[in-house]
Amino acid sequence: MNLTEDLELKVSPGSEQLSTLVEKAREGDRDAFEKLITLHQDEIFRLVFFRTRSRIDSEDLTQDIFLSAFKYLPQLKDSDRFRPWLYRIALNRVNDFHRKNRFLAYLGITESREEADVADTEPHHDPGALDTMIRKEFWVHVKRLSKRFSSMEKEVFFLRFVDDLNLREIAQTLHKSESAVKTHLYRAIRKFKEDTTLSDFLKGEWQDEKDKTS
Amino acid sequence: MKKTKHLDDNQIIAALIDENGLNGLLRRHLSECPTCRGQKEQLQAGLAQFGKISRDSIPLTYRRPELIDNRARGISRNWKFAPALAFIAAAVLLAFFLTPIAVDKDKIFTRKVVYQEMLRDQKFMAEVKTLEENPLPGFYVDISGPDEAKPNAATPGPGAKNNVKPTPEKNGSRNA
Repeated sequence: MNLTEDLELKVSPGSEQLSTLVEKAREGDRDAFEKLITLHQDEIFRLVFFRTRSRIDSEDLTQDIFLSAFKYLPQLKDSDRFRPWLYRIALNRVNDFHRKNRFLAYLGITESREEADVADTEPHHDPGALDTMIRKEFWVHVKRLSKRFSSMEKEVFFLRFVDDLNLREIAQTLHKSESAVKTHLYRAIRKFKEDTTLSDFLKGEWQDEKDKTS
Repeated sequence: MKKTKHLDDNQIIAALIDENGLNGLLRRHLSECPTCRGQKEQLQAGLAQFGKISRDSIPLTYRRPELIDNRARGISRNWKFAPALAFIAAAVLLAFFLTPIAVDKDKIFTRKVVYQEMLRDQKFMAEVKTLEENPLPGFYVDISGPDEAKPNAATPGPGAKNNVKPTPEKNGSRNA
């Protein structure tokens, strides 16, 4: 059993022990913060990678996010809100990254993310050729769906279904009311449902998964 | 018994987001109607599948974040005092160059050099003066006397006493 699994058994997010860890880290306990990193690094990396689709950038940003979190942790008033607070930092960093990239692309210093996307959707954990093709097709669907969403719908939808946050956590992360989150999520799901190509693609995938498990 | 109509698409979505937000009648219908429940589950499964593929597309291995900022924070902490240190250094330098001791030292040094040069000049000028007054070495002065010490074309040389006539120089003899 690795350290992450071990910690997750002892400290599930939202538990009292997590609050204790946050309290200790806030007082400058580096070990406690290291444990917090171990607990949250996968989900933060996932959040960043899903939004940047670049492994190197995601690694750098994840590092940056945790350093910022360590630096500003004493400013966190409620230790129970650590997870939404960390997600907020992560989303801000990702948005800064995109803003910077757009500016550099505008100046012609870097290539636009549209071009960079192709390279970084290459397989990362040695899947078969079919698997790779499916994933590439999936990213095409995601990109098309993202274009249909407003920026808030996109954030809410991805935080709910990719990052697996509940409505309260999403509201805290985005500094919105729960009813506002529900409204954005409702609109986003309607657009998702209307995208028949994506639905068909997912149905096929889902069927394959069911066939595999049965 | 009055039969409740099936839930429409919007109600299915609303139920998926927050089932408790539906009114009691719709909620009861959803729990009893296999068609509506099936629709909701289908949509839910599609969204779950979307999330699963998204998560599966993330690299499994990556560089783990670590608190390497010890060094960076140490540097930044030191840099916090940099303006103060720079100010102190500037003040010390300024004090060194502007205090009277420094000025006196400078003056003493300059005067010493000037006096040495003046002395050297005076000595040199005295030598020049002596040479002007006595162009011949002491030996010749003793022979010719102090009045005839000045060199002159008409003045006979040391061979005059022995009737030695000066030989005129031939034209181009030096070149020959």
